[in-house]
Amino acid sequence: MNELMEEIKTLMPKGKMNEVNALVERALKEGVPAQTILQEGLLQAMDIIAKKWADGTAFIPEVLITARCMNAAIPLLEPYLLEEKEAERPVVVIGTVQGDLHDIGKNLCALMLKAKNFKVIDVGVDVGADKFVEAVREYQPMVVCLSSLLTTSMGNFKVVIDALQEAGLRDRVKVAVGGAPITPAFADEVGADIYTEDAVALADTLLQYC
Amino acid sequence: MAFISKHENLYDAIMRDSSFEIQAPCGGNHRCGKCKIRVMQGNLPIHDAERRHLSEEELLLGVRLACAHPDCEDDCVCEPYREHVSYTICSIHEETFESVKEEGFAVALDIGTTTIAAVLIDLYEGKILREKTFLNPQSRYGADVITRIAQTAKIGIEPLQSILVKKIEKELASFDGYAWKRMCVCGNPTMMHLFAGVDPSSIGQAPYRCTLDTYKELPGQQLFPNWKHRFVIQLLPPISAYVGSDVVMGLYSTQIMKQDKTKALIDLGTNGEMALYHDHRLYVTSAACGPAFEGGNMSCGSGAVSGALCRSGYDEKWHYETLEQAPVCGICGSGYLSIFHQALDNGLLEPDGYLAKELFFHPKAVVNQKDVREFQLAKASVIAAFLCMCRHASISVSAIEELYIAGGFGKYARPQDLLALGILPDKLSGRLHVLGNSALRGTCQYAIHQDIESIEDIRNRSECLLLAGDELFTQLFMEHMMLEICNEN
Ligand code: B12
Repeated sequence: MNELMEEIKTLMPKGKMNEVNALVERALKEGVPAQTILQEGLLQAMDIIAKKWADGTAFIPEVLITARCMNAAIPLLEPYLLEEKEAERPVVVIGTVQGDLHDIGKNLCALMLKAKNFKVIDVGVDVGADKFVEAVREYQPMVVCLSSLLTTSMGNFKVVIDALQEAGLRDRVKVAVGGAPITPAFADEVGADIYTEDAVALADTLLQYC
Repeated sequence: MAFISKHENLYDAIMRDSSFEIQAPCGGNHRCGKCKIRVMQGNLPIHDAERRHLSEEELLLGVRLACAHPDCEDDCVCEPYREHVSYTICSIHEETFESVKEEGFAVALDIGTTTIAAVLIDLYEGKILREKTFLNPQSRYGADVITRIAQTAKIGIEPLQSILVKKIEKELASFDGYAWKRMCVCGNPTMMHLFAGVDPSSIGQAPYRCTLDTYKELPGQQLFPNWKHRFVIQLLPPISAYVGSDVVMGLYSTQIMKQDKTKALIDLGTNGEMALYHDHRLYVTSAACGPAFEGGNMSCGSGAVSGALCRSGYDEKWHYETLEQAPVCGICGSGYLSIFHQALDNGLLEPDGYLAKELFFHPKAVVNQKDVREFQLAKASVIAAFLCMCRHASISVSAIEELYIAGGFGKYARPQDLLALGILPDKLSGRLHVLGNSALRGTCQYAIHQDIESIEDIRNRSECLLLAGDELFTQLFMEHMMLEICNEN
């Protein structure tokens, strides 16, 4: 079993999607629990790449290539994972605020969160405050993540936060904000709870809230 | 000089004084560390952001960041702190144009986000009599158009318009006595809106629309009441919110649509606008690459100013040249291109962008890992947008017979660096033509010929590609993040 996991971990950063899928299926057939494959294979591979990103030796493409393999393999495990307590996975809602269509950074955040076993609800781009409020009400996430890459749209963080307040939901959810033009000072100014510079740090920070 | 009282917001106070020279690329957001001022009287403590962004020497000189003192700690007197002096200019001075023998004079004006270029033309001779290039004074409100739009939401349009118009009036004083009949103006849509005093906010938010989206004339006196002669201001029209009349005029100057050839034009400035003409259709888009190619957003980045490191060579150790052989003050866009190319060839930089060790040239010229990453984002977005455009037109890269490189930066960049780093496809080697300021050239031609039909033809035949939400763009953006030759056919 260990060799299988090791092999998965070497092939994922190379983007060998089919090979990884085959290995996952073989492991399942050999009776390795789905949870073990997820934790010790897929998620560990993501962890390794995340560490490399953090120390500067890997960049966006490497992370995405690995993540793409993870995403392709997860559906194979899902039927078996369902038996486990889905309800206990912490939920995160993520989206790009109104006025902005950039989504590459937001998608990367979503992937890193999935890699840390969060259940991620992605509400898309150019998302108005009412839609965020609705999603928070419906999914009752632990954290709502707001992304903005434009200086003109980053003011909409405040609009969302105010709307959550108004809807009486602000106390029940943490708000994380981020994107290239965002600074810790700005995050404070709009009253967000969490700011991190990148996707890896976001996933690590949110783990502390679990 | 400015007087600021204790507890005032230092940044706001300085911004209110339009005669105080200052740059604030990030719009006072504590990010860029460029809004430097010198405190002549008064005692301002040093904040973290200042330790990060300012050198020991600067701190000793009393240099501070305007944005670091929202609640000013003391009554103080500040003066502008200038590091960059002269910008090398992209001249078209030597050229003459075919004329239609109309009597009189005209002014052509290209309002760029960073620099503004103006010429005075003798319409009868088709000759340029005077040329003037100067920095856009709106830099104090942010380096890029989005930051400036965000500023108008806070302080209104008027301060940005009036500082721009006044500066133009002042710089064009040497054109006095020629009583020009018309002033033809091109620029990116945000600059055009701000010049005309039209609210640009619709450009800054999805779905990104221009309010000023057609050709328009204004009486000269409306903007320049101090000039007593009568003239008309002709505002040239854009294609979309991010493909402005500067691009239209560049296309016009190349006569790209006059022959039945497949050709492309690319501007490597902040917005990375590009166009492809194929089979009677014109595809246009903008790559939003950011200012990295112009030295913006880089730790030691600088414009093409005297003293900027502009070229490098490596044989066991580094050699470099600066513009006008002046003492090093930073690295400009063409300098970065040259450095990355050399570093790759000599194994100091991995194609995946990993930089084992900082590249050190001089205390004011160092390249770090973050700079490489910034450059990779810019590079990937340009080549991805370019390939998207080709796919959209259903042509292969090699079908392009000529690729024009427009804009100030393009003038200094060496084609071999652009190709080696994969900013442009290698297949186009030998088909690149560096144009310099084609927008200004086109505007001069328009000032002479006044053929609005040609301009409208360019606009009518163009199709604007939206890259946001385009899966292909995202995929290509990832694939081309590597610093290596792009072998696309
Ligand atoms: C790729 C790109 C595009 C693509 C977007 C494709 C897509 N599907 O997203 C295209 C070409 C469509 C595009 C268009 C535009 N763009 Co654009 N774009 C870029 C570019 C080059 C890279 C952005 C990117 O994807 N980076 C990679 C990702 C992984 O990084 P990231 O997004 O920063 O995300 C990381 C962190 O910020 C953080 N993060 C992100 N979200 C969140 C959320 C939370 C909660 C947290 C904690 C962290 C976090 O984690 C991420 C991973 O570590 C930048 C330049 C730059 N250097 O950033 C300009 C840039 C963002 N664009 C800009 C502009 C102006 C535009 C346009 C409005 C105009 C134009 N010139 O065309 C249009 C508008 C359309 C739109 N998208 O809304 C400007 C914004 C300027 C400003 N001051 O606001 C930039 C900075 C370029 C510039 N200087 O001019 N763009």
